[in-house]
Amino acid sequence: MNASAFHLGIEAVFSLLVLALLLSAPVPAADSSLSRLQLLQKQQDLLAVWVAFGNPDAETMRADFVFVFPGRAGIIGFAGDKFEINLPPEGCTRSTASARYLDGTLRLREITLTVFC
Amino acid sequence: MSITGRRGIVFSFDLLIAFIVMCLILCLILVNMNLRADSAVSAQRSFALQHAALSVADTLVQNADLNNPALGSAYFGEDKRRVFGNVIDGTLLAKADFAGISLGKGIFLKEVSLRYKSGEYGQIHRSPLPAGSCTAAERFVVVKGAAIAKGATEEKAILTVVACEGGI
Repeated sequence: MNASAFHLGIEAVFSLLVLALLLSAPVPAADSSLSRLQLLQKQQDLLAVWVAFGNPDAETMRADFVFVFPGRAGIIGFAGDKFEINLPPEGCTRSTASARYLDGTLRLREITLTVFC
Repeated sequence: MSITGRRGIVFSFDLLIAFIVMCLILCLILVNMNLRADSAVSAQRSFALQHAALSVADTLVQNADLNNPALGSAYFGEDKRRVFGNVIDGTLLAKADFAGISLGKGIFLKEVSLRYKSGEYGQIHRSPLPAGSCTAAERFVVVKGAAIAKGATEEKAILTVVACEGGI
């Protein structure tokens, strides 16, 4: 009969459950950094320069990409073609920006720039 | 008497456990709040630094101010009567005086430099003040009319602006 002293009432069980829930709750990581904005700005810079200086060729764009994002992987889409720079690691996040412009013959063109991780 | 006593003990244990758990929860909440406050203060400092560096870099790249090039050194095309974003007037940037720029309490501009695609490096400004933690903002630009590669009229470069804590 004395063992009944160790029985837990419903409030104690409930409290323990709440505590367990609190302890197991994942804490989301707060991203207060402006690094994503900085990445996007650099992507937009590349696109702005390519568009402003007209008729960029694949080699120039590839060289500019390597200069601005050394060691990073990316994909440049231009005039219906897509070319990759380095191989993106598995499960890597990506950031894509694009620019549309009228070329010398007044045809609408689009350049897409994707940067991984 | 004995029944009441036993019931009282059972009740006390439950209450005791509930009370201890409640205290633990309160303690966890306080610790969590403290950690969050600490990380918020740290994030705020880092955010202010990044914001300062990004703002200076952006204003340099997007605006043209002939009287105070530190507020904008973008190239102004006389023929088209407009400012060309992402195109830096190298001659104008070379005249910029960044020493007077105030970026807020405890933040100052440590360095402004250009790293050309050709591999050359050009320092525009470097503060002698002692620095704490720093952050850099980079922008891809085309530099016109500066002391760039011989024979070239323009060259691609990365403009780097470094903002630091300290400066006292």
